[in-house]
Order: sequence, then C-alpha cells, then structure tokens
Amino acid sequence: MCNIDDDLLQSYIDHDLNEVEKLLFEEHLKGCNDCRRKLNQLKLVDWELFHQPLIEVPEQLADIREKALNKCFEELEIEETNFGIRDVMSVQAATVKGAAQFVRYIPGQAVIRLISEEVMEAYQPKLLLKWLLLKKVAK
Amino acid sequence: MDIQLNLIRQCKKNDRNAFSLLLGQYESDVYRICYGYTRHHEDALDIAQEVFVKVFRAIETFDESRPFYPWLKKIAVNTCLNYQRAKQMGPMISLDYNYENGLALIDELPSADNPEELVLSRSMEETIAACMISLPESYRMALMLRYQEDMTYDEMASLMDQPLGTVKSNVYRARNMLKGILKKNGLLEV
Repeated sequence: MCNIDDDLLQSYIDHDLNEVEKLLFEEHLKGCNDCRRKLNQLKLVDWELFHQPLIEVPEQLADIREKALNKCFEELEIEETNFGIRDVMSVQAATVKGAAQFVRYIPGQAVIRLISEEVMEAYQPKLLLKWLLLKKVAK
Repeated sequence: MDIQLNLIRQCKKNDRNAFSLLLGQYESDVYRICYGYTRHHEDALDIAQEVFVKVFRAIETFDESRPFYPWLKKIAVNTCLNYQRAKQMGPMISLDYNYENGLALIDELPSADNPEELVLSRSMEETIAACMISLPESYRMALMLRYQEDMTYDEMASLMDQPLGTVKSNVYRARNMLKGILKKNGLLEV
C-alpha cells in the first residue's frame, strides 16, 4: 500500500506542483499502481465536475428582479416621505441659524460689536504680558 | 465613457431603468451561483431576489475603479452562505426535500427491493448533481466556485476572505467525498 499524501495527487491534477515535485511524482507514478488508479479516479471526478451541464435560467427571474426593485423603490419612497431624525436635526439647525441671524439685527448690536473688538484689542497685549510674567515666576 | 460605468452611475442616482438594465445583464450569473450552491430552484430564486436588494442598497459604496462582476459575485456568495445558515440546512436537510432534478436524499438510500437499480440507472452527471446536495456547505461552495465559476484558488480565497489552505482543503475533501461515493456506486471503474 502506497503512503503518498493524498494532497499531492490533488495538487497534481490542479497543476499546482512545482517542476521538481512534478518530476518526482511522475517518477513515482511509473512504479505505483495504487497511485495511478487513485489519480485516474480523481481525474475522472475533476473532468465530470468541469463538464456539468450549464444551469438553465428560469424565465421568471426577470419578474423576480422587477419585484426586488419594486420593493427597493417603495422603501425609498417611504424613506423620503417619512419625517425622520435627520429631518428633526435639519429643522433644529435651521432654527439656530435663524436665531443667530436675529441677534445681528438687535438695536445697538453694531456698536456693541465695535466696542467689544476695541476692548479685546486693548486687553490682548496686557494679557500676554501677564501670562509671560506668570510663566517667569513659575520658573 | 464606458457604458457599464455610466449605468452604474445612473444606478447611484436611483434610476430605476438603469437598475433594471444592470441587474438584467447579470441576473443569469447570479441565479447560476445561487442554484449551483443550493441546487434548489425556489431557494435560488429567493437568494437571487435578496442579492438584487443588497446590490440596490450597496451600489453607493461600489468603487468605480474596480470591475463590477467580482463585487456582485461576492455579494451573491455571502448571501448564499447566510441564507443556508439561516435555514439551518446541510446536515439537517430533510430526506424528502425535493431538488430541481426531481431527486431527494431519500432516493440516495438503497431501496430494499433492488439496491443497485437506482444508482445504475442514473448517469454519472446526475449522480454528481445528487451527491453535491449531500456535501457540507463549505465544500459545495468551494466546488461551485472552482468548477462552475472557473476560479483559481487565489481568487476563491480572496472572494471568501479565507486562507488559501482552507480553500484548497475544501476542494480536495469535496473531490475525495465525491470520489468515494462514485466509487461505492461503481461509477469509477477506470
């Protein structure tokens, strides 16, 4: 009884062996009836599997495709007409945007903005100086 | 511009006609994958329908720089595998479950009156088709991709996200199982 690994036979019919392995295996085959028989059986299975009849496609496949698409487009329509969480978010975003716009038109808003800008400019160098001093003390 | 790419872009805009055309081009391939795996007409149609819905939902994510068919094939293969898992088929398959060729597993059992009659009256290809049903799902998928889809082991490994060794070993074992059954039935006298 030959103890050649069965995977070697399988690799051989798949043309998956390198040249050296192939040569050695073919040499072995010459003297091994057991392997030759196994290999022939495997080749027959391989051939039969490659030559299975082409699967016939049923006519109703086109109906199945259209049915699937109907389902998809119906779902899409429902999604579009439903008031979902995304719609709530976009309404809220629009409300906040509107409120921000409103603040811009409060009487005296332009003066406040001008003053605050001037105050910030005036204080910025002082703040920087204060920060530098603090850093020096910390050292 | 490539006609198919144009079609895909139209699909991304939810164009109904474009979807019909695109899926129409590939529906036979999808059905053959599903049938090659399940060997059951109704199941294959169910899975094909599920594949079409998945394509519709995922088309937005399709990378236009890549070919379409391998992408579609991956969806079909995954849908097949999930469908079978959900149905708990494989080892729990009913003996009366009728396959498209009119055969059921019960026919595979030798009859008490004449045990060899059934097997001998059947051709090799019919026997292989019947045997495919009794293979474990991973083996069936491996054989379908290897022989029906004519894929290399590397392509199969990449499609199924499995190591190359696993893919090869599934094909080897499946072929050995078939060889064993055919030999037992005297169909491998070489």
